[in-house]
Amino acid sequence: MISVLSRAFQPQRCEPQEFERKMRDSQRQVYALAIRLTGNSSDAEDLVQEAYIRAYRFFHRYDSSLPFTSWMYRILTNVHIDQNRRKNRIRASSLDSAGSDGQTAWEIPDDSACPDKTLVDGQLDDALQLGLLAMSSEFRTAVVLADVEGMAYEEIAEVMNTSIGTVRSRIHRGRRQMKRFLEREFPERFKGVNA
Amino acid sequence: MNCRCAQSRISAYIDRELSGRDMLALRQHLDACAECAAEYEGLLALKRMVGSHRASDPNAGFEQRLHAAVFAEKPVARANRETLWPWAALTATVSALFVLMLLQRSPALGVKPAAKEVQPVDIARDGALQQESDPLGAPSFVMTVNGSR
Repeated sequence: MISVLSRAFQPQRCEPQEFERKMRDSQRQVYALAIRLTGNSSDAEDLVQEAYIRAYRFFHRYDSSLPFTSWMYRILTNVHIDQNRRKNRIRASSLDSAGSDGQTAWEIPDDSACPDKTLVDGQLDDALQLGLLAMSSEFRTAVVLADVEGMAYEEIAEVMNTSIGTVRSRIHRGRRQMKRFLEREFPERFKGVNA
Repeated sequence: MNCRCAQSRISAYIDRELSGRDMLALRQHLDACAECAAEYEGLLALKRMVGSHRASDPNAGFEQRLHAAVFAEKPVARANRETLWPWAALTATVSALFVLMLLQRSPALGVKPAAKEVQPVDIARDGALQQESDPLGAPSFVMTVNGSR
């Protein structure tokens, strides 16, 4: 009771200067994640703005024991997944099991990964980025956090607010999705993807 | 370990997220199975490519636009559910104590003060006292005239 009351009497954490400093230090990394998740600079910028707006609104809930960048990654991935769900894409159940947490996952590639559309738009000419976009948003997030950010499964589970088993499943299925896409769309470069 | 089991563990093996026992079992399977070994090599190469993929930089003015977008939003300074209820609990407690104090002190609220102990009236003594104080009730006295009765 006393600890609850003492917390109640503490002022709300609305420290613009501190947040501004943390935002400045983390925005490059957060943008790098966003561009890999979205595939184009316009969507990435919108995603980053939305994430930081949410973070500022709830800065009083930030636990400093967690690195600020990790906290931002969590917010960013949640915003990204929420945005994709709101776009009412087709959800398909996997032919395999639906993951250790029972959630179904996207199996149909993101339509922004269509090579013709993307090349015509001039937004992206990177086959690997297209391969990332070929995955579902949950798979893509897990793969990027593992392969680009070098996070351990436990850290990724923390960021994505899920279990380690689900992270493991998403990474494996995401990589296989990406590999099949690259072998199909860019066979001359990725036939039987090998080092 | 069969191929289905092995292939489900390849990514975790690449990421060094398998236990020692599982890692050893998978290694033995990969040594014996060409198809799974090829899958392993393919996923390992893919991981390396993704890891070396360089993201494009943001467009010019990104930082300024971000700053403007974020600080156009006001931080949460208003009370919310998390901070209201401790205040409510405190207010309720203080109010309850105050009401309790009022109930104990105020007779108008129906609590009668403790009655004093009442002694029985000594009517006889009171009557004697009245006689003593009443000049007309004074005991008769003998008037002496020139010292004689």
